[in-house]
Amino acid sequence: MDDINRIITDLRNDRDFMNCVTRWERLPQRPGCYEDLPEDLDPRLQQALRSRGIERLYVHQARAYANARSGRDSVVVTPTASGKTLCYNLPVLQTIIERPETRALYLFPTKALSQDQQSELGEVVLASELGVKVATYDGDTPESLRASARETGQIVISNPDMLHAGVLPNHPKWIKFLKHLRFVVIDELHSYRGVFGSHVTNVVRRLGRICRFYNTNPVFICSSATIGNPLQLAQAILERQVALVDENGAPAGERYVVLYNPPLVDRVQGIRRGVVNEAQKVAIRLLRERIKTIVFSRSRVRTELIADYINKSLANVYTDNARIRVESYRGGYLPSERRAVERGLRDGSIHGVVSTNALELGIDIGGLDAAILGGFPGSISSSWQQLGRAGRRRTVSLAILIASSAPLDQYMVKNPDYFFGRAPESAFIDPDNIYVLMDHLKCAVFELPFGGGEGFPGPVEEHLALLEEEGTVRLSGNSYYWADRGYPAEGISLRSATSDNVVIIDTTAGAHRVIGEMDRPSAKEMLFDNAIYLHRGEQYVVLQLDLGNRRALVERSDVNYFTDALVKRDIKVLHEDRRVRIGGCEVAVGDILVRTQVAKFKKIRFRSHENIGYGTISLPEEEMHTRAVALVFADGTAAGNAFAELEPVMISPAMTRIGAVIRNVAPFFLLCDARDIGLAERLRDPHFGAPALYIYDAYPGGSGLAEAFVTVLPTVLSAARDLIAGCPCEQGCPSCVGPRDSTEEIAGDPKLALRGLLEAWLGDAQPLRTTQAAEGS
Amino acid sequence: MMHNLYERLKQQKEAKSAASRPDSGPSGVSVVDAASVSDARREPRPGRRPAVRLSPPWEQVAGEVWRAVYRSAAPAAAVVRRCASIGGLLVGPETDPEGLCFLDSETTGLSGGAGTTAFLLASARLQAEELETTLLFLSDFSGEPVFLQLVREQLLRAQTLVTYNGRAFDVAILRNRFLLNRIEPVERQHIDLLHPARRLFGTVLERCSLSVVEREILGITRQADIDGAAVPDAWLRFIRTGDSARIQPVFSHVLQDSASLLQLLARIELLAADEDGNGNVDPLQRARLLIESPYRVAGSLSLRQRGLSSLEALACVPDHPQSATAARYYCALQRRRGNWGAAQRVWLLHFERRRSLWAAVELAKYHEHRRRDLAAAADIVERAAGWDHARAVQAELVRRRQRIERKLLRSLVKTRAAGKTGPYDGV
Repeated sequence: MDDINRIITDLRNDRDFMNCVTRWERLPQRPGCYEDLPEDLDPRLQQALRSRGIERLYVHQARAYANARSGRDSVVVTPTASGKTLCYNLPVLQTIIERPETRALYLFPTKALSQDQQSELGEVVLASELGVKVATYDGDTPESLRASARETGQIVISNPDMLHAGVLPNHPKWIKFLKHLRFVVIDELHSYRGVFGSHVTNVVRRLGRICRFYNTNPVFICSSATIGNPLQLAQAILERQVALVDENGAPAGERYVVLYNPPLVDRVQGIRRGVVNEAQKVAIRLLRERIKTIVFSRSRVRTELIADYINKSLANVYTDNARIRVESYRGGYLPSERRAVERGLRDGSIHGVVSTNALELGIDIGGLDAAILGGFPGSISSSWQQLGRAGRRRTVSLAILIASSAPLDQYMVKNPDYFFGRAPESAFIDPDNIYVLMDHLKCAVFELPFGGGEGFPGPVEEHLALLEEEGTVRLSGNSYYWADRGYPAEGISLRSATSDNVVIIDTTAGAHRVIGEMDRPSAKEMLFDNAIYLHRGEQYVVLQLDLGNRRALVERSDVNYFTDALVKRDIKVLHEDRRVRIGGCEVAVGDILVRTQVAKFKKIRFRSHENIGYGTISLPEEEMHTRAVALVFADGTAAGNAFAELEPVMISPAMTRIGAVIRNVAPFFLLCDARDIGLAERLRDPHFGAPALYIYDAYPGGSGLAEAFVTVLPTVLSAARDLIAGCPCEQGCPSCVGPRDSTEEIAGDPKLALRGLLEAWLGDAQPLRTTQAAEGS
Repeated sequence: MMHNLYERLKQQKEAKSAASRPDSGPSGVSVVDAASVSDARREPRPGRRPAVRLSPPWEQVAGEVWRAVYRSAAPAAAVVRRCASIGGLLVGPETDPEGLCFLDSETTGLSGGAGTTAFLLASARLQAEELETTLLFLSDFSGEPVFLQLVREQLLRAQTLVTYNGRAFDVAILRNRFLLNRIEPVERQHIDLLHPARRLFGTVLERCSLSVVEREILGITRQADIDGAAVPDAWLRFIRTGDSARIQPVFSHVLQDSASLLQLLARIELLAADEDGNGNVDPLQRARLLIESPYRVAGSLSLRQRGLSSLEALACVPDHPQSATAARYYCALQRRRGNWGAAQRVWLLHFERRRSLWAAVELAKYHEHRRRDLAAAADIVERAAGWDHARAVQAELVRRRQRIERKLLRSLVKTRAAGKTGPYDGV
C-alpha cells in the first residue's frame, strides 16, 4: 500500500513529469457515514449481509431502503463503487421474503450483452442464496425460457426496449407478474436524456397505465450518476414527486487528481506527444510499481493499441512479464471474455486494464489505485465517473487526465479552474414531443383502449383525434381502439443507433471461430476488406466483410501497421418544405440524407504512428434520412452580409463556431441532449448556392427537433449572443464558442469576432420576427 | 402548426414504407392485398357511419353485436359419433358428440398482442345429423363486452373445443380479450387439429394451413372466398363504411372453416382407423401418430399396437423408401421398451439386405454392450468395413474395430491368466 504513496512522491519530484502537469489537486479523505442494519430486515438477509462483511449500511443505502419500504419513489445519486445495487436490492429482497408473490422489474439502459453482466452482480447471487428467482428477459432470452421468466421470475431484469416492444404489447401474458408488481428499478437513470429519455418517459407512462389496469402501483427506485439535475430528471421521467437521496455515505481515501499536458515535440507547430504513447508510458510506470491501474481511451483502436504497447513493454519471458497482467476491455468482445476480465479485476489477478468508456459505469470491478484518462472524455460528468474508478475506501489513489491536442482537451488542461469548478452537465427530456408522443400513443391504444380520464399526461385528446383521422385508431362508444392490423411497437425504436451487428470470425488455419462482434456502421469503419483489426492483443487482417450475411472473416496477421478509415460525411437535401426568414437569416426546413462513407484508409506504423500508405475501400455508404434546418447565409440577408464581410478563410471556422454555440445553447430550449443534434457546415452549399449551416436531427426519420428549432431559433440566437457576451473566458471556451484552436484561421479574438457577427446578424431584427419567404422549392 | 406536423408524420411514414418495400421479405411471399390496405386508408373519415344493416338470418342482439344460426347436413357426423362410442384417435370414448364445439374466430390482426381483437366467432355443434353453426359478430369495438358474454355462453355450453391452431391463436386471443374486459375466462378440453394434421400431411403438403388441407385432403373447393390474411382489413374497412357487402365473404369464410373442422376431424379418425385406404397420407407419420395416441382402447386392437405393427411392416420392407426411417423409429421404440429381440430382427434385416451402416453400428453396439459378445460385434464391424464407404465412415469403423479388439485382447489375457478358456480361443 506504500507503493502508491511512493509513486506519488516520485512523480512530484520528477521534474520532467511535473513540467507537464498543469494542476495537481488533492481531494481530502472522507469518512464513511453509517447506519445500523434496518430493524425489520429479515434475519436471513442480515446473515447473508454479515457473511459478506456488511455489518452496517451506508447512510444513502439506509435512506433508499426506508424510502422504498415506505412506498416513496426515490432517486439515489451515487458515485461509482458506493454500493449502489444494495440500495434497491435490499428493499426488494426484504419484500419478496415477506411476500413471495411480490414481483420486481429491473431496467438497465444497455441492451442484451450487459444484461447477463448485471445478473452476475454480487447481490443477485445474494438473491439465489435466499431462494429468490431472478430471470433475465431481453432480446437474447430464448423462447423456451421466456414463459418461465414471466411466470416464476420474482425479479425480472430487462431493458426499456424490451418493455416497450415485448412486455407491454403482450401484457395479458404477464398478468401474474403485473398483478404483483411492487417495485420498478431504473438503474443509470442519467442515460435517459434527450430524445431517448423522452421515449423512455413515454414507456414509463405506458407501464403506469397498464399497472393501473391491474390495480398495482409500484414503487420506483432509480439510481443516477452525478449529473447536474438528477432530481429534476427523475421527476420528469416519472412525472411525480420523487425523494432525492444524494448524501454519499461511502468512505473515500485521499485522492490526487492531476491534469497533464504532454510535452511539445515541435514548438513551432505546437505539436505535442500523442495521447496513446503518453498514456501507456505513465501506465507502465505505475504498473511496474504494482499499482492497480485503469486506462480509459477514447476509441476502440486506441484501447487495443495502448494495451498492446503496455504488454510489449512489459514483455519478458524470463520473468513472465514480472507477473503483471494487463488486459484490454471494450464492447464487441465475447461476453465470457468480458466476464473474465471483470472477475480478474475484482479478485486482483489482473493488474491493469485499458478500456473504452464501457467500464465507466455500472460494472463492478472493485477499487483501483490509479486511473489514467487518455484524452478528455467529452463531458465533465463522464470525466468524474472515469476519474472515480480510482478510489479506495481507505488508501490514497491517483487519477491523471492526459490531454490530447484537440482544442477541448487543451482548454481543460490549460484552464484547470474551469475543469474543477464546472458542474456536471444537466439532462433534459421532452416527453410531449409530438413525434415521440404519437408513437407511444399508438402503442398505448394497442395495449388498452383509451377511455376518458386515463391520466396519460400530455395533450392526448388532440393527438388521438389525429390518429383517428389517419385511421390507425377508431373512436367507438366513448373509447379509442386500435384499428390497424399492425403491431405498432415493432416499427418504433427508442434509440437512434441501429441494432444490426456483424459477427467477427477467425478463419486462421481453416478454423471457424467467433471472436467478437461489432455494430454495422462501425464495422464499415473497422472491418473493411484488408483492414488490420486489433482484438485482445492479437492482430488480424480482414479477408472479407460480408454485410449481407452480417459477418467478417478475419485471419491472424503480422504486419507492422494498423489501419484507420477516413470517414467522409455528406449531406443531400431531399426535399425543402418551406423557407422562412428569421432574424437576419434565411432558414430552410426539410428532409435530408446524411451519408457517411468510408472510401479510403490509412496505414499507420505501430509506435511511431507515421503514415505509411493508403488503400481504398468499396463499401456502400451508411444513409440516414432525417429532418434538418439549414441556416442559409445568402446575399441580401443581414446574416449573409455579415458573413460576406468576413475574410473568406474565416467563413468556415466562423460557421463551425456558430454551430458550437448552438450546440451549447439549444438543448436548454429544445429539451434534448447535445448528442441528439447533428451539425454540418458548407462553405458553398450546392442546394442553396450560399454558405449554409445544417442542424439536423440525429434520430433517423427525425424526432421533431428540426420543427422545434425553427420556433426557438430567435431565442437561441439571442441567448447565444448573451452567452458569448457574458462568458468570463478570454478567447472562447467549451461553454461558449469553443476553445481557441491554433489550426484555424480566425484572426484576433474569436469570441469578439463571433459576437460581432451575431450582433450584426441580429441587428436588423429588433424585435425579432418571423416572415414567410419563398415557399417550398 | 399541429396540422403541419401531422402531415409530416404521414409523409414520413409513406416515405419509409416506400423505401422498405423493395426488400421486404423474400420473393414468393405474396404481399397480402396491398391495394386494399391503402384503400382502407383512403376512406374518408366518416363523421357518422351509416347504421349497420345485416339481412336474415342475422339478428341484432345488442348495440353492435349480431348473431346468426346456420344449419347444414353433416354426413361426417356419423364417424365422430362412432368414435365417441368406441373411442378414436382424438375423440375419446367418454366424449359426448353434442358437446364438441367446432370453433373458429376471425381477428383484427394476425400478430397477436393486446391490441388484436376477435370480431367474429363461429361455433358449430352436432344436432342429430345436422351441424348447427352459431355466428357471433361484432360490428364495432364498443360492443365487445356484450360480444364476449355471448362468446362465453357458447364456450360454457361446450365440453370439448375443436380448432385448427386454436391453442396458440383463437383460444389465446379470446383469453386475452376476456382478461382485458375483466370477464372470467373459460377453460375447456381442447382438440387442436393442427398437430395431427401436421403429422399426417406435413410431408405431403407444401403448407399445412387449413385452406391447403381442405383443398388437398378434403377435396373442398371454395368459391369466391376471401384470403384469411385479408380478413382483418375487410373488417376494418367495414366498420368505417358500414357496407355489409364487404363483410359477407368473411362470414362465408368462417362458416366454411368451422364446417371443415368437422370434416377434418372425421377424416383424421378414418385414417387412424385405417378405413381410408386411398388417403393422401404419409404412412410412417400415420403410424407414429397412432403410437402417440392418448387413448388406449379402440375396438379389439389398441391404436398403439396397430401403429406399432404398421411401423414394423414398413420397417421390414427394405425396398420401401421410408423403410430406413421407419426402422430407426421402430427400433428406438422397441429398445426403449426392452424388446431387444424385435429390434435385433430389424437391425439384422437392414444390415444384410440394405447394407445399412446404421444397422451395423447398432448391431455391433448391441453385441458389444448388451450381449457382451465381442466376437459377434467384431464380426459385424469386420463385415461392414468391407463395404464401400466414405473415408470418414471408414475411419470411424476402424476405430470401433480397434476398440473391440483391444477389449477382446484384454479379456483374453485375463481369462488366460485365470487359466480358463476364453470365448475367443477358437479363432
